[in-house]
Amino acid sequence: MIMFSSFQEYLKRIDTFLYDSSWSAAEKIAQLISCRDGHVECRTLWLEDADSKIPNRYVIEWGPMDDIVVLHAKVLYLIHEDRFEDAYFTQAAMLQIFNREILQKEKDTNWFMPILYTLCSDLRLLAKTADSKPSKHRKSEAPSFYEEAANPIMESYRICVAESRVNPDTTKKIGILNLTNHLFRIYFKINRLHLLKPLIRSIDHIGELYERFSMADKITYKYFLGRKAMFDSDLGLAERSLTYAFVNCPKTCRQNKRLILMYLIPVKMFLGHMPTQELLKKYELEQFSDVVSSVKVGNLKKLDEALEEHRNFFIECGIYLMLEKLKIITYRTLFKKVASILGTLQIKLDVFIVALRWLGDDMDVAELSCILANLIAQKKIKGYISWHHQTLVIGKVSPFPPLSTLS
Amino acid sequence: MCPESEIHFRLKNNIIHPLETDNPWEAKPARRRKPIPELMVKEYTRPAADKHIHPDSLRSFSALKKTISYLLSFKSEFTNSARWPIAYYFIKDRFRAVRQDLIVQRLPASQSIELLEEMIPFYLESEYRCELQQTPNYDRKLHKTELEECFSRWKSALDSLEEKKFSRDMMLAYFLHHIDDSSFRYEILKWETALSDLTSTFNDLYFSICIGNYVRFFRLARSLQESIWRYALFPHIGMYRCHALKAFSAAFCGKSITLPTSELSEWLAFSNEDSLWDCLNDMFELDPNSGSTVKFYKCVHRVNFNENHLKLYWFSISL
Repeated sequence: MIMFSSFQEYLKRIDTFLYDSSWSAAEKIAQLISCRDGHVECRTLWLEDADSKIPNRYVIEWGPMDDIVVLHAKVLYLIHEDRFEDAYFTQAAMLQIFNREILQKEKDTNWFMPILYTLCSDLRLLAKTADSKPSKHRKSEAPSFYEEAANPIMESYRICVAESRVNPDTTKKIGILNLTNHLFRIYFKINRLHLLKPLIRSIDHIGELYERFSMADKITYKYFLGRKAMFDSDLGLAERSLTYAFVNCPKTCRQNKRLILMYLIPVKMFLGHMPTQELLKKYELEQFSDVVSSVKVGNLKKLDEALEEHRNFFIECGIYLMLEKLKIITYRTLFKKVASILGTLQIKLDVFIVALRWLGDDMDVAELSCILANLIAQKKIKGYISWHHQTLVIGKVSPFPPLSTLS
Repeated sequence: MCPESEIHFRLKNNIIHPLETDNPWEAKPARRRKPIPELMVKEYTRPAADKHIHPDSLRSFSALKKTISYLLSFKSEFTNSARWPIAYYFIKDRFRAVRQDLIVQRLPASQSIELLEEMIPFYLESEYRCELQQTPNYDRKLHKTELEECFSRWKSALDSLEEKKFSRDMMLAYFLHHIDDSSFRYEILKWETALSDLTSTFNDLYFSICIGNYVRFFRLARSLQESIWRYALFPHIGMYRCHALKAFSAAFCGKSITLPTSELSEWLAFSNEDSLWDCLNDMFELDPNSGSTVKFYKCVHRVNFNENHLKLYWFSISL
């Protein structure tokens, strides 16, 4: 942690990096204007109005950055005064200055993008804090700060997208994925998933530039893309995206890997791949244990109980409804077991009814036929139904094909 | 129900709706109709940059409530195919004007909720009625837009209230209307406590669709206690019937396999077997004169079949 004995020292340090005008220098500057860096504990930097407090202070040569840094000092002051709403507004002002004076005006260069990333990160962080600790004067019908934070970030995004230059070393388009991830986080939180579509389209058309994005940004993007695909029931895309995120997430980022697994597990289960108990234990996801075992054996009653037991956890993760949909896979497993026990190709529908009733499911033959019809239409069962004979006739070869082989 | 200035203007320019005259249902030319100022209801006017809204033209909350109640009295014309188009247009236009007043004067959220909860059931029921009767001046897209606007304003007003006071029936109708929208799936979980037992009603319907148990879906839909819930599900039944028939055509496809149309019709809650055959013909080119059983053997989808533009018979149902 860097400690500064004075505000002057802090300003001079930043100016030194600015003189360098390189990406790595920008990363260092980004740290020095981040609300999450150790320097925030330096009381000398908590200044509501640096200009009036230190009239002859050192002034950073690059005007807009001087304004931004001074406002950062104000943000630190406001945070320590527990004035989170004011801190949010000040942070938003910092981002607006950056958009207007740097992002918009600087041409043929992108070295300052790490600063933008940090400004956006902190804006979301402060918005979240301000929402969790609203002031007395805040109107209840006002939109959340988190939702409002999308506006200046979207402004940054638009400037980057509109860039016509394609040289990856200088184009501002290099920032698109990072900004997309910020917007993804906000739109997921405020449940406006339809707003993700145009952002995803832009990334899909980004071309070779995609290889220049950082792995961290790619992992985050794939994680959210996978989650969106889950909502859209696009299991193929969900699996590919979440698997990419999980495999490429460093081993040291255990919490992130766990987070990715929370969504990857249900997707994989839908595709017929059950996680091992070892995996669940390794990542402290034992809440899935009973769900997995009940789907594996085709026990609907046990699945209901398992979902109920950890309901709050699954709801908080946003996977509860997805797990409920595993019922269709569980039905299939049950039907497969019944077929296997009987060892015949022609199975009376009443036999399935008996098995279902034993598990506490009271559906009749019409409903059973409908579920079987769906499984046949989805090619999860190979066969046909004779309503006249009240019989399911299954195929001789692999009547219950592995789910992983189905698209 | 109508500001003095508008009454004066419309009387002077003879811009009077038949329902604002004496004996509105009597067949006579417009020039012979006698306007009744007390029956006049403020009409919707398009907002314009140069148009100044005078505060006197805005109706109070109690006036708006009275207006809605009066307009809903025309709902009884549903069953009269000659009168209903006139009543429908009148109610819809005047409801739009009510919402205009509500928005312009920024009524408190609780009052907005109260007014919208009286208007929304009309939109839900009239969607059903107009589709089945093929009401001449009914525009499906416009109607949907206005219904969505009502629901959206209602929900926004509700979200802004600290102390949530609303109709649980309306809340369930809101979610049932959006049952196919993924972004609403988790929204209902936030309202579980407020909705209590009604959440299981939604969940039963929702999971029936998820696991492809359309038989259960239609049984539950038909047995829903409140009509507003059945009407809220109405726009979706065509699509779910489509999915169900696709599944049945794959499963009941053996050479000698037939399925009684009476069963199929009952499973998918068709109001009559003719509509079922219309759908089968539309989707698979199956001959409606095939008798009382359906044979899916070697049937193929019609090339130009578009499940996003389903014809009226797909929605044939008695609610």
